[in-house]
Amino acid sequence: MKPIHLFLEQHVKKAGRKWYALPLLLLFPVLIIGLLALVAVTFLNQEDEEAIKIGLVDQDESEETEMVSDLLSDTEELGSLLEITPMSEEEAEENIKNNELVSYIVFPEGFTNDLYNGNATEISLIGNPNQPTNSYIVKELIDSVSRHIRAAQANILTMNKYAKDLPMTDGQRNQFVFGQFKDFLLYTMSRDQMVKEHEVTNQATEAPVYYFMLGGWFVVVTIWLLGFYTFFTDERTSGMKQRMRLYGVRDIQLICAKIISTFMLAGVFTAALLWLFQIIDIVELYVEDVGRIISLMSMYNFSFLACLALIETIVHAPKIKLLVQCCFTFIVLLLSGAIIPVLYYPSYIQQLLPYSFSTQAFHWVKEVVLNDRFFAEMLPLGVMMFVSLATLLAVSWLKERVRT
Amino acid sequence: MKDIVITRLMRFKKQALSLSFWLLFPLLMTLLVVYGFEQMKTDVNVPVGVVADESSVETDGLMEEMKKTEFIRLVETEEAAAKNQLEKHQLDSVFKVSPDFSDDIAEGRHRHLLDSYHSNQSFAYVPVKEMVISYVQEDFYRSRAAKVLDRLSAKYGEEGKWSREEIINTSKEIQQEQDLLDVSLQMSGEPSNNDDSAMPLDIWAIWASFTLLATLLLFDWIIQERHAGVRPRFAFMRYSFKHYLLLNGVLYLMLSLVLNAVTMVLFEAVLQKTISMGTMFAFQLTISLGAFLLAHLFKRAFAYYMVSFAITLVIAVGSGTILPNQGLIQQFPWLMQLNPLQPFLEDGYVNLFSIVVVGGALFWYLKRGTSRVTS
Repeated sequence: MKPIHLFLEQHVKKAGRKWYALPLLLLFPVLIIGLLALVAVTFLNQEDEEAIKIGLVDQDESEETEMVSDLLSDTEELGSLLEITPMSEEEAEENIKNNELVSYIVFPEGFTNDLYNGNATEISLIGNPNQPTNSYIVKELIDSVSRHIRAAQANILTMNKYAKDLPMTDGQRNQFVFGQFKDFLLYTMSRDQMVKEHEVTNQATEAPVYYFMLGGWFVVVTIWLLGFYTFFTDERTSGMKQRMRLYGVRDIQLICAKIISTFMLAGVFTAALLWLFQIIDIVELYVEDVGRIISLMSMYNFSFLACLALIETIVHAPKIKLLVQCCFTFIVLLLSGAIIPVLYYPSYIQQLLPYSFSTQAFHWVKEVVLNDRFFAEMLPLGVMMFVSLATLLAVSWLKERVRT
Repeated sequence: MKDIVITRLMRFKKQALSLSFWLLFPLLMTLLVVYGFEQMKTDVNVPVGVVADESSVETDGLMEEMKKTEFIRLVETEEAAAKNQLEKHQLDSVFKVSPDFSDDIAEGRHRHLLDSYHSNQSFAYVPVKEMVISYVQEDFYRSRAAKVLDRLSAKYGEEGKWSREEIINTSKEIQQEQDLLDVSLQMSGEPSNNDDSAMPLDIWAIWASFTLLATLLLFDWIIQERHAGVRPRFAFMRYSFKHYLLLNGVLYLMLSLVLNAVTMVLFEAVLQKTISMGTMFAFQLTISLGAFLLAHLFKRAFAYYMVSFAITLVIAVGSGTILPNQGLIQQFPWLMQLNPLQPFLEDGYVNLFSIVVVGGALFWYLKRGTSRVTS
């Protein structure tokens, strides 16, 4: 116990001596989250502001392609997003070079003919290399339109095939097929009428922005833990280690002291940040909630720190150690659901989630804070905390044994 | 020069493992991320609830189609349970098939065939809805084709010439046999890329971020050697300490460049991604010089590592490695001038950051203390 006490004192001294590093460590995750939010917000805003400009090069120049392009530019859902202008290929190339177009669509020569005769044909989309993301958005939209045209086309071919068996002239038949083409196109454009949409609102569930706020808080706290833990890590020369060992100090004592210092320091700021959220009305906490959140987060913090210490015990090279710890933190955060809701993960990952302490912790904190639940399952998280601490103790003890 | 290379090689021998790890690190990590992302993308699934009170050939067919869709995990439930799960965000969205679904389709009625329910956290609702509509649309088209043909044959006095099933099956066959319409995306001025899995993942941004980290960490020798006990001996050597550091820095730069060349060849072969040699060289030169100077500011290697990781994370986020950054570039162009990765990602050579770094290097080289010991 005595060495631990000594190390704790040393950590306090270090924090005093290196006080200038603390605000940097505190602000760093906030900066990262802020930058991420800025990237996301500016990205979303830019699309709202102006329509995506698309050129249309019609090399076929048939009635059908004209209709398709008219409908493409007229429909409501696409209309607000896209601005489609017919032009020649040279013009389109020129506009892409000047960065005035996001991409242009080419209907190849003989497009309609191929459609009617069942030959494979292709709509090419030429994207602007300076705006790849927008080009992919356009591709998605055109893809969905072409999926409908494809389904319609199979039926037009079917009708054409059967109509050949009827006593019709070729002219009549072509007229008939063109009429059907038009009908199908109209159905394609009015396809949203098939579904009546309802939005389910759950009073207890807040808007996604609160979800991501809480997620951001969780990420910040986790990066603090990693940052403070690294902050308290000292590089000791082998001579120094030898001397410490002679005094009967064991590695695990040093690690325990580090875990305790990190836990205290991070805990204070974690609570402060949540309190700040409470003040500016992002979350609404009741007294009983506070107890639940403290227990959940304490167990999460200890599990996470034990894993960091475990990595430190196993990996010695400082660069690799930091790399492994960073990767581990990234995986822990990804699994927690604080960045992407776990609902969308592949099923083989979802099967593992009950065994991930970050998923459990974030889930229950979310339930308590956002969904106003008056209950949190503590047992699994507690078991995981004890398992990780016990593993740390065992591995550390084993290493000590092997060395002596 | 020769003796510096020889002494350095002696050191490399001792650190062979660590050195080769960090040199290969950007290449391997980029491949890992790209293939990991590909794998994830195909395995991502969205839990979607379906409620069908009446079972018929059409509704069963629709369910079959939805089950076959890669990114949907279908959950068949009752209406109340589905809504409850949706409220708890256990389902992304719920689709309820109208009780008259089969009749409506047969009669060619097009409105309100489905009810859809989504919440404010249904992030995948739009693509799923598109998918479901396209399946219903297919059924609807087939049914309509049968109906139109029926009318047509009646007009020519050959009523009931073909049965409804016959027509629908022909249509299905035609659609299956022929992959009739395709959409291809190619970037202007780039060779056409027939790879369907083309993705918005910016491979060069990922590689550049990992390269930045590896380069920063490779230059930690400066910290160790500036504080090593051999410093006073430089007073009696042919080289000044400054020149010693500079020449070694060039050596590390050359090693990185060799690996970059390997990366270029490999990425072109495997991922069909090309970049000009000059851009690559300018990038590696800038970040190596930056790392060289940054390392001079530190006494403890460990603090330098921490800062390296932190810097890399900030730059990676700003360069669009994690989320696309087009908006950031448009609204804060000056911010990008300070990003060491920016010229590389835009096929350029220099920006404000490189000028600052070169200025810093000149200052470092020319500043006082030309004595052989200090630097």
